[in-house]
Amino acid sequence: MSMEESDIAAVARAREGDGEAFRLLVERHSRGIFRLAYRLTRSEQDSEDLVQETFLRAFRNLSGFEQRANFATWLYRIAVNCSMDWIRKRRVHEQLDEGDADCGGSGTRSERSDSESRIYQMEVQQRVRYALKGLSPLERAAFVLRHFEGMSIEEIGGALGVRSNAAKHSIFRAVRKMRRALDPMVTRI
Amino acid sequence: MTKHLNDEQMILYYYGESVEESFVEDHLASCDSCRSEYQKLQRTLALVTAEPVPQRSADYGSQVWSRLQSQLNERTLSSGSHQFRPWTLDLGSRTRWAWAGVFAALIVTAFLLGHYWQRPQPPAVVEQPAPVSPQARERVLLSAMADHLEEAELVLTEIAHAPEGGNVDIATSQDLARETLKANRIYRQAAARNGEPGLASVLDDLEVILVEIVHSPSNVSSAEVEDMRLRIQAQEILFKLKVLASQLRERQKDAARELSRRSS
Repeated sequence: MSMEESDIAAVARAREGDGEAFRLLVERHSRGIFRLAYRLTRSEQDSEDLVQETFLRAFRNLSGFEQRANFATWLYRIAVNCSMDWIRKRRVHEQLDEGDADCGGSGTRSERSDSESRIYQMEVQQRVRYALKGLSPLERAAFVLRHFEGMSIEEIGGALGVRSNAAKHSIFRAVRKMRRALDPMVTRI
Repeated sequence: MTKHLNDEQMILYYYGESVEESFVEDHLASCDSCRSEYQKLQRTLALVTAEPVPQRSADYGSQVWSRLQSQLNERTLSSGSHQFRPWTLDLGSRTRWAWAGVFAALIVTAFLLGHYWQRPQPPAVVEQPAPVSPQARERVLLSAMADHLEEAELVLTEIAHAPEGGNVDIATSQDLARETLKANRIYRQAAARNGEPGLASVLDDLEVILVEIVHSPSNVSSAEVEDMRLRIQAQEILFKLKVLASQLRERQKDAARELSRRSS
């Protein structure tokens, strides 16, 4: 029996009220969902919460799952939506913190005792984090799924619930913003 | 003169998604300017490396289940077993309308139980000179909730149908969203307090969108509007609001008929 068949069978049992079947799904997919949430949020604690929220939403919406669909993809989509909600809330309620905003790094560089290479890498990572925060939720999700998770644009459209064209243009916008943020670093290479 | 590649062509090529791969390859081989630009893109995206994801142990799934189980128990599972309560699990044979009906029924039940509405209220409510019949109260409350859902639907519809291209002025929608948001918080808290996670979830989703609208600049780009529109569509929030409002209106009519029958 393949993994997908097992998932679908477990979903069918869960829909009949079998808690053990739902437990099986949770145990099978938790690590993957955590990894995805972390990629999107870069926050360990919040990713833990998002794993919980993803399965709660999945549980509430089991009836919306079509038996012919891929359960992992369906769950992935819920996780992305949960993460996008998280990103939206963070964007609305919080300003970028000063540490992230101060990504020029010229003042702190001289104070650090690490090698130039190490400092350069730190600054790159800081700029990447800052640039990711500056993306809209859709841009961020599309970019992370394409760049880090290696999903195709069509798959990303499916995961985000948007047309492929919209996913593609979100990636374009995201890459442009990343380039603007990282240009100074590229010229230093 | 040969036309240069644009950044979209280069990005698609970089990610192996170009439908004109040979053309791009040939062009990059022959055009110094584009090749230089593409190499810059490569160097930039190569800098965007994944931060290591914190490792989770092999039994992480079990840990998640342990935490999740208590929440599911609180909400939906009968104590001491993993069996779901039948009313919370929307079985495949049920339709979305039935699902919405459950929500509507829960709303009415909560209202009638008075968990929320009988809490201390401003004097205008407390000092009503004559007792209000349960039917009259139900009718008013159903009307208030339906009004709220329809207002929210109006806000989201305006955003969903904002003109495409160029910047969009959403100041009017924001004013309405601001008022709707205040009411929504009260309804959401009431739903959560009364053990209605499904309804609270819809109102929670609505609140996130309303907050986003309220805190957006009055003049937003078409891309930002598109983001909001896609979010609204992805959550099917308009559909849910419409269904819930419709169900409440039906209940409101029933309550009115009952009130009329009793008074005649």
